[in-house]
Amino acid sequence: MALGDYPIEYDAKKHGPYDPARYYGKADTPLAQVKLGELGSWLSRRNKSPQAMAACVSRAWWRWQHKYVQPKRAGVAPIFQLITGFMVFFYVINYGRISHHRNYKYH
Amino acid sequence: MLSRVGFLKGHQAKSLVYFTTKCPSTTTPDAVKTDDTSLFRRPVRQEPGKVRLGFLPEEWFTFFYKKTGVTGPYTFGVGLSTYLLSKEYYVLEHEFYNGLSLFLLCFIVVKKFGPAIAKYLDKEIDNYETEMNSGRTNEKEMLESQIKNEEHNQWSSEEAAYRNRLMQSYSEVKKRLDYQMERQNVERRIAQKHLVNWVLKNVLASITTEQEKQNIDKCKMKKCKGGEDPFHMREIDFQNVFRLSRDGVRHLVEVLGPHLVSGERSTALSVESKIFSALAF
Repeated sequence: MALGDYPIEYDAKKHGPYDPARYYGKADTPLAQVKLGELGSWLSRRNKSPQAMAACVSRAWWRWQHKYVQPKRAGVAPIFQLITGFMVFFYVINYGRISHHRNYKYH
Repeated sequence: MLSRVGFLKGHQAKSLVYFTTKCPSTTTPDAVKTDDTSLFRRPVRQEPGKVRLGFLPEEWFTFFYKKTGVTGPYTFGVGLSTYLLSKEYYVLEHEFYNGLSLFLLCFIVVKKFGPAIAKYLDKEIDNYETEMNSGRTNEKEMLESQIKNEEHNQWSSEEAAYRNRLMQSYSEVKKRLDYQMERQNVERRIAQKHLVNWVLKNVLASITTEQEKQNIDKCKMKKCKGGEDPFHMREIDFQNVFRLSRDGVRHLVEVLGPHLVSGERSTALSVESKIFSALAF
């Protein structure tokens, strides 16, 4: 599978138009329904290749797009969500520097 | 051997019946649905996801409801931020206050101009959509009007043909009725004529010469009295009485009229009476 290709499991005849938010492989138990005892085996079943991880992030991105950005009458929410996301991201990556600005010695 | 075949067949048929009753047909829509809905689900444009506090997904709040009730998520939020602040995981440095002022600005803008902008944008979306669809709707309207026109044309031609046929049948029926009426009239006329001829013939045949003579005499008597106008008699009787034809007598009256002197008395005989009486002698 080269860059920019559809996933191998996707078959236009079978699945219809391509939905970038959808996982076309064999569905496993959703993470929210996995019991704690099964978590290890569930994790071991995951494909941890960088490609698969990128695909996962891409699907999440598109799911978010479909839900908040692409609707006909989308509101201002996705903009604030993005801003908040960036704020959190930059806070985390800058945490090493920001933590020097603490006001109290003891917490 | 044959009986065994028959038995086997019967057995098979039974099992088939069992099979068909047990298994739902594979062509029923239910079976297709259970198998392939997930595969053939087309992506459709969604409604925008619900959010609270401007940007937090509704699901993050409803997630708490089962365990904590409706205040749970807020309690969690306040608790988490208190924890982060008190432990100074979230440090309130100068950027925080800068962010606070920015947040205030955003809040005011959204609250003040949000509804107006949303209204304007919604209207723009509607306009855009109607513009996009205008070609299609125009085409549809045109085709519908064409269909209606065609239907009307067909209807009118059918109506015309119907009226034409109706007229045709009407005229045919009228012709036949006219024929019947004419035939009856002709028959009646002929019958009448025949009857009259028959009666006349019989009556004439029944008159004997004796009777005729008596009649003529009676007539002569009448004529002499000058009761009736002799010109009104039948030609044959006229000739018998006056020995001349009516035209002859008329001619005679014309010729002799100026030479005969009419009397001055009220009971005086007219020219015709004089000639008639002379002829009838």
